[in-house]
Amino acid sequence: MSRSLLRVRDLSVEFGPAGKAVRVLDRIGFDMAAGDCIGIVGESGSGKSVMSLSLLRLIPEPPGRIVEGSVEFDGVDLLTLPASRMPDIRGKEIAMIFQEPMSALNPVMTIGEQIAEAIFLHESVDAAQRRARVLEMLQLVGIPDADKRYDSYPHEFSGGMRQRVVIAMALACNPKLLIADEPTTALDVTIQAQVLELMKRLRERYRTSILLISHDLGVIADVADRVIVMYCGRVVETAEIDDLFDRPAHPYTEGLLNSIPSRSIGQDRLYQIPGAPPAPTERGPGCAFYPRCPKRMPVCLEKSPPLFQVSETQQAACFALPAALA
Amino acid sequence: MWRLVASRVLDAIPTMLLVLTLVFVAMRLLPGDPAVTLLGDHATPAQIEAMRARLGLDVPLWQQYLRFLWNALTFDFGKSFVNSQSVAAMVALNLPYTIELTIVSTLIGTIAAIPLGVLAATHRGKTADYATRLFSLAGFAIPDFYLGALLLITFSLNLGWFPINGGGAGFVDRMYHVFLPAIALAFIKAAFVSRLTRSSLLEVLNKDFVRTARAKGGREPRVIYRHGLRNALLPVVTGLGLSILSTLSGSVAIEFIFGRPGVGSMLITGIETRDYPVIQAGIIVFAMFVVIVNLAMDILYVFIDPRVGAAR
Amino acid sequence: MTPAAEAAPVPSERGVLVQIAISLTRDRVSLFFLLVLIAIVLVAIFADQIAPYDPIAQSLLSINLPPSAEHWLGTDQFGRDVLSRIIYGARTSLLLGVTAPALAAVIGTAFGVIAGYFGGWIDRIIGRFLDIFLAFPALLLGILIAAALGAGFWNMVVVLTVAFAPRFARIARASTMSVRSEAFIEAAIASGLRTPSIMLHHILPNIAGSIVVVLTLWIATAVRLEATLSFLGLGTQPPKASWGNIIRDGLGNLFGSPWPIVAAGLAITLTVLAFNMLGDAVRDILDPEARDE
Repeated sequence: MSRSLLRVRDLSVEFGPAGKAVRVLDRIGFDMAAGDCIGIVGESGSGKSVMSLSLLRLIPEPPGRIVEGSVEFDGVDLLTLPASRMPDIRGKEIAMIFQEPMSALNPVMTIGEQIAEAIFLHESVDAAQRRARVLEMLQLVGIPDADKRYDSYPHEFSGGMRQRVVIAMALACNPKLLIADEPTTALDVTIQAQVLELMKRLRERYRTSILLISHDLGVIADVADRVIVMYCGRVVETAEIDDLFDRPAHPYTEGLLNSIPSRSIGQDRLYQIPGAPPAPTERGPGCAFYPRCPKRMPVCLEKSPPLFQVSETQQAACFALPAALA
Repeated sequence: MWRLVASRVLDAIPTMLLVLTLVFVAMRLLPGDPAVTLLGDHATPAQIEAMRARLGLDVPLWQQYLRFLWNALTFDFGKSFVNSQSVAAMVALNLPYTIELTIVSTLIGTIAAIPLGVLAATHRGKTADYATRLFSLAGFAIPDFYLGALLLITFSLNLGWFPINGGGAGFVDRMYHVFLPAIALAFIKAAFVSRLTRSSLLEVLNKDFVRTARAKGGREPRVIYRHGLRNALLPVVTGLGLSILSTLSGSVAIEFIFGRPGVGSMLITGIETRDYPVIQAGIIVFAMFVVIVNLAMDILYVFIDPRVGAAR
Repeated sequence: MTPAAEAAPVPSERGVLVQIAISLTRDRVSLFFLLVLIAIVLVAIFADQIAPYDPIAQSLLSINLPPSAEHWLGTDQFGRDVLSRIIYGARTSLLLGVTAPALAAVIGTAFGVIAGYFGGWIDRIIGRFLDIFLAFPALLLGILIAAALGAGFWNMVVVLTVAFAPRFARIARASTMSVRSEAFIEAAIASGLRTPSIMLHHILPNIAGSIVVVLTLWIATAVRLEATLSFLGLGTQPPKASWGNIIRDGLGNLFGSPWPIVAAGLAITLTVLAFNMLGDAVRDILDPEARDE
């Protein structure tokens, strides 16, 4: 039984001025053990990016606000740490990479300098050693001619290469947890596969835990062992990857799976979940999925369903579950 | 990279020629006969002819043009009508004072302005921000000569802390003389640069790579200066050339107010005394200045922004 | 300068003024300056009625009088009433400050639209000239041209127009180029509409927004430019009153009375500020994306 790396409880985030704030994340909770690779899946507006940013307290303070909850990393609640301690955690214990490789790097610094900076910020090694480490990382992520490329600028690289640089920068200090927010969404499909392959390889080598966020179930299925499904700022299901695909518990998850084009082979139309997710301002006290749910019941409108245990490793927030009806 | 520099230099040559041509056109093809204007209504035809010969107006236009270009490029500005001094010598005497004023006020203005801009950007919506914006508004609205006059009245006349006129001799004395005029110009400059820095920095701080810098553990000062400002200053540097030129044009009035020697006051005096060669020389010098400063900025930009070198 | 969104509908005449007024009144500071502007315009128009004395009437007996009930701002070294000179100065400054940019807008926009619409070598030639004129700060250009042309009202108009026209041309050119590539222009051409008609009825209305935005701001600059040139002796000539030459006369009379300088300078500052505020309000309405907030 691996030790707990990350315990998130009741994480809630609001945006907007004090009186008229909108709740974007509503009591998110999940666990992560060391060595895990967890995927977070959800559509735009589900709050998955906000959640990943809150873990590192990178939400811009106006207009955003973490209003309740705890994020225990390695036993320490990050939300109660003084703000001045967070930079020590970022990049060293927890690293994060983002969606847009084209704009993620500083245009006026060489990529070598930027990766070296990551090392410089957290470890006291001299310049020569830093450079050696950077070259090592560049080779590791598959950038040829590392020695010459050290002095190149971001605009001299393609999107896929830049994302590799970003990954090298993130892993330079060997963090325990890597949060990857849609790392392949902006890339071509073939490059996507390469980058995911790279991430898996690095995970093997460094035993880094990965929290992968994506709207693409295919990407998640490729890399993750466990999946958390988010909808409208709430966790609606967590399961092992195979269980999720074979026995989805939540109606939303079912809908998501049915929406995968290959599942519609032989039918006239592609399946779509009818309707659209409500905006954060339109969410009521009940279940957010109610308007679009084929299994809805009156109780779903009155209260928001908590997570029910479907099996030892699977939970879902739905009143229509056998576990809930029991 | 050097190829780019060379191409910029080559590009400036036709520009310079075009500018000089425009000056020539402006000065020669205007209504009215310069000889008559200079001599007044009671001149005899013989006197007018003599004056025209003196002005070089008796040869065909294209010859005048070529001679004009040649003189301009070899800095042969002729002799002053007022005191027969070599105009080139006058320019050589006055130019250092103007350059001194321009450089000092640009330095003071920019160095004061950038921290102000950073302050305003990082304390957005708070007092420091409003104060800086008020400052930049004032700098735009208050005419530089008005500010100069007020400074002169207050500090030189009433308080006697600074000299009333002159340029000074020797380094310290010159700095003493240039101080108040430079402050007047620097105020305007600082107002503009601080506003530009503020908006540029605000824009940059919203960019993804700033978020990356924070995510990898950079502390705020490092994020703001090393990542934010380094990118935010690019437009400021681009504006530097324009900024220097606007200071240069402001120096004309300031030199006049503070009784400072300089190309500006030389030009104004020349206009007052109808000293034709001096007027022409002043215009040419300023025109050349403009072309040269623009060229310098183009070249500087090639070195500062790594992306410029790559874009072909 | 971002050209106004091509498809943004230009608000109706009455609507714009009302909106500007609303936008200005929302902010107490802006309201103050709007009132200042109206006051200045009224003063300029009714100078004959308002001014207590003839601005050019000299009086050897009343040299350098301090402010009093008869002369609110005192008199200058020629015995002229300072207040009256300032009032008439408003007329000069506003006249020049508005006419020249208006003229420059018309001329500059014409060149800009031609350059932007036709492209090719026409654009390159016009563009080259624009680059050269734009490389000069407006004041320097003004000084150089005024030095060559001499002083006087109409010369001033020429000077200011030449100084500003390229700036309008640049904006008009950029706006035209972006509108030019819109589909409805292609449709208009395809339907056989003649070029001048296209430019007048299709291009112009769509770039009018960005032109107007800069017009008000350039009026502020023009007022300041006129004052500076008059100050240098290149603009409005005494005894005709202009805020700029009032300051110049004042400099020659520093020990006599500081009031001409102080008052005239204040007048310039307020006017420039007021037009600046107006310009901001106009911009907020016509091109909201240009705000830096």
